[in-house]
Amino acid sequence: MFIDEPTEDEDDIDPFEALNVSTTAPAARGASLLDAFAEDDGVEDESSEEEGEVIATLEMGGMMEMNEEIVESVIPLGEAGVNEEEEDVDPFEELGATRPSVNIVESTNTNVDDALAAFMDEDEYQGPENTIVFEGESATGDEPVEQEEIQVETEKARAQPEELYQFLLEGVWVDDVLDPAEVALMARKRRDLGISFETHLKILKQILHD
Amino acid sequence: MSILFQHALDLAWSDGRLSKRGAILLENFQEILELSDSQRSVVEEKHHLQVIPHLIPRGFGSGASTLDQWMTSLMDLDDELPRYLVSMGRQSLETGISKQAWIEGFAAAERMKCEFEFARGVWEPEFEVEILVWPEVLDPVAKSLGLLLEEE
Repeated sequence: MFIDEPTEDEDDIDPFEALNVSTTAPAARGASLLDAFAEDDGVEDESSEEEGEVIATLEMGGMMEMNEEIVESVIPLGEAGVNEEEEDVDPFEELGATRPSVNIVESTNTNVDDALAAFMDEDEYQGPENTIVFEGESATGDEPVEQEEIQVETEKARAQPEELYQFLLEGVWVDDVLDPAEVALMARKRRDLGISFETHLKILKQILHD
Repeated sequence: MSILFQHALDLAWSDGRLSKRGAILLENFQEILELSDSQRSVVEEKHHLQVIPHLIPRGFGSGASTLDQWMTSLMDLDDELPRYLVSMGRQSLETGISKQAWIEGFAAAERMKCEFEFARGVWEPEFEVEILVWPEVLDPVAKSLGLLLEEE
């Protein structure tokens, strides 16, 4: 015997009856209920009939054949929030945030206008302040800037010559012995940094007594 | 640390005893070198701890005469002293002067008021220096600069 093979007892039992469920189609049952309701009131309602028809139509899968009036009567499009202007919803308004004050399009246009204006004004420019100076050239002419660079280096060296000299002097004593080459180097540095011999002795005392 | 005053102490205690005359000479030499009492005490304490315990008394403070002679010779150098110190500075540079030797040599030259000349001999290679044989009275300075061995 197969499991799926029905037995004689099972054939005799009506499941709808056993479960106390009506076997009438829902549409027919709804129509009969409406008829009963109408008979009770004694007034025939046309909209109920239409509704019955709609339900019957829906049951028949004729959704595509429904006209706008019927759909509108069931769910008004305005109430459902579906309208053609949905894309224009302002997210800032929805979120309760303030809208940025700068208009991007306008500012972009302004920038473009400024750049164009600057470009157009270039012909009128005659001053030297915007001249691009490349390395090895001078802004005024063909004079080399090496002299200026040397001056800058000299000014830097003069900023703290004693500290620099002290640093070098400390380095001289690292090996604890002073030799003629180191002394010659320090003499040259004194000249370069403009340090007098007296200052040298003062710095030397500071180093040795610290 | 004054190498000159230390040498003076060595001479005063040379026979293992210090005479009254030797003590007076040391007082005078302290004034000549313009040493403060605290500076002198540092030198003297070191001498008492490191030298005197090893001395064997051989006399009654005859070292005072030697000290007097040495002090007189040093004072007699007078104008020659700067020249010798410049020369000694240059010679010490050529042999390689240590940091400690520089400190002691410069301090000694400072006491003799010739520190600038000594420093020029060491630190100014363009400064022409006549190489001289220093007098015996400056041997303590030469020793501290490493120009003379301790045994010599």
